[in-house]
Amino acid sequence: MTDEPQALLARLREGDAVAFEEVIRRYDGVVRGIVSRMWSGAFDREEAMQEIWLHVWTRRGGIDPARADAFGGWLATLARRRAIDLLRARGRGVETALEDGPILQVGPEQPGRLRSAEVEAAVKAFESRLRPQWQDFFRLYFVEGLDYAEISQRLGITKLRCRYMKKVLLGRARRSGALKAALGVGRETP
Amino acid sequence: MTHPRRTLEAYLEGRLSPAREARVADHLRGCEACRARYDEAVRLRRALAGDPSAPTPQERAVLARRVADRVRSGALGTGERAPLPASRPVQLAFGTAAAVALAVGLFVAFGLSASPVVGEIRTATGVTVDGRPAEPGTPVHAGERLATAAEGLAVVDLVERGTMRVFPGTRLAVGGGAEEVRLLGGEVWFRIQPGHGRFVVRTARGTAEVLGTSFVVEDRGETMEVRVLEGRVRVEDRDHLGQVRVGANQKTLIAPKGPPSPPLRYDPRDDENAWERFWRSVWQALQGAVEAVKGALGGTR
Repeated sequence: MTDEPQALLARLREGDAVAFEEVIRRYDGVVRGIVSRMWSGAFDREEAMQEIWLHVWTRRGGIDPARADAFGGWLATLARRRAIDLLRARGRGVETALEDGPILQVGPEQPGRLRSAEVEAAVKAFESRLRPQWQDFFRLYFVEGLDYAEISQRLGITKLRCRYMKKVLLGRARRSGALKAALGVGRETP
Repeated sequence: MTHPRRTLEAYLEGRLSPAREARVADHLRGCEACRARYDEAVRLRRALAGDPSAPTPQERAVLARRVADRVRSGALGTGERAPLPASRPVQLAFGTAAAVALAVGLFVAFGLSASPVVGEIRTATGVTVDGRPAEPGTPVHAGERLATAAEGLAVVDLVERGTMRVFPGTRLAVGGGAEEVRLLGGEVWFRIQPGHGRFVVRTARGTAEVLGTSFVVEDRGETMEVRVLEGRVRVEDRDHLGQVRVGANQKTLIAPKGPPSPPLRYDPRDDENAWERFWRSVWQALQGAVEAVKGALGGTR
């Protein structure tokens, strides 16, 4: 979808769930940045993000499509307030100075950060040991995030084969000692 | 629920049905071990994608889809005009010329409507759409309420999906993309084309999910019955107490506060006969009306 931000936000304001889905994708980084500083586990973060986005949906009447450039700030304020409410509702204190803290990622794109050289090296080593077709699949599925339909067209393989390759690669990755060590698997989630 | 080790990956990829997804999420909320396993799986995928601290494109898409699904299901439960926005825009790349003609016609005529067109009424007697009388050719938009009177009937062509035969005394709303029907009461016979993805019928008691089949869903208020003529349907109660797969010539019943019954034998001729019976009575009533008009016209000459 290539809607201009104004048009997209206007559709969201009107209650269009398709537009909402697109807004969530585009502005994922705003909410994720706030949630990442308040929850530690991946599942907890996802739950919190869902609640925050649902809150955004209920407050969509406050969106001004003409001021699309201000949407990121509006969203960040709303998300932060909702996140604090969620923490309080769950009986957790709001430890960090969130009220005044800087928002790490404001804007539709979330930049990559905290790249771990150790992990990167382990993944490269893992990939280099794969046969050519498996390398292609690895890149298309895990790196580019394409679905089976697209990959099957590009590589000329069936979707069933795609599923099999994904399963095998995930199994190998899980057993890879270098990857496990780099990711700290078995240790507490950072 | 036992630890959903095998389904964790499917949950992460967003490949589970909403009901199963809800069950896995419930389990994750209360099980620290599974949450840790889930976190590990997420970290591994992120690492393979190139950055352990950034979400993968798939992760973002699944989150967006989950939130939008919750919005859609919640919107339909409000009892007002279901705003039920489209889950995806109606596609113009239909498989058949008839579908193209239908879609183009509907978009030309109603292209500026806020909600997408999800179907067109083929046959209508005693039918209203959002309270307005409907006739053959009336488009049905996402979220609009279609209702048949106690002696009414409707046949609706769902864009890209197949048809539904709406029995007398039924109320329903169709979701955007025609992939979801919220049955608010009454009985509907669905004939769903295979190969177009998920299709779900929700009632207050539970859901029936199919991929391509012919089946009848009857919402009786406290109970719900699903009868399958062709294909297979997965039926689950609202409280996720159980799930059954119902095949051809089988039916299941969801009683109050209970899971779906095991599949029972069902004779599809019952529904075929019922539809024929309703159809004949409607046809006879129409014929009678025509004769009455003719008689009245003849009397005035």
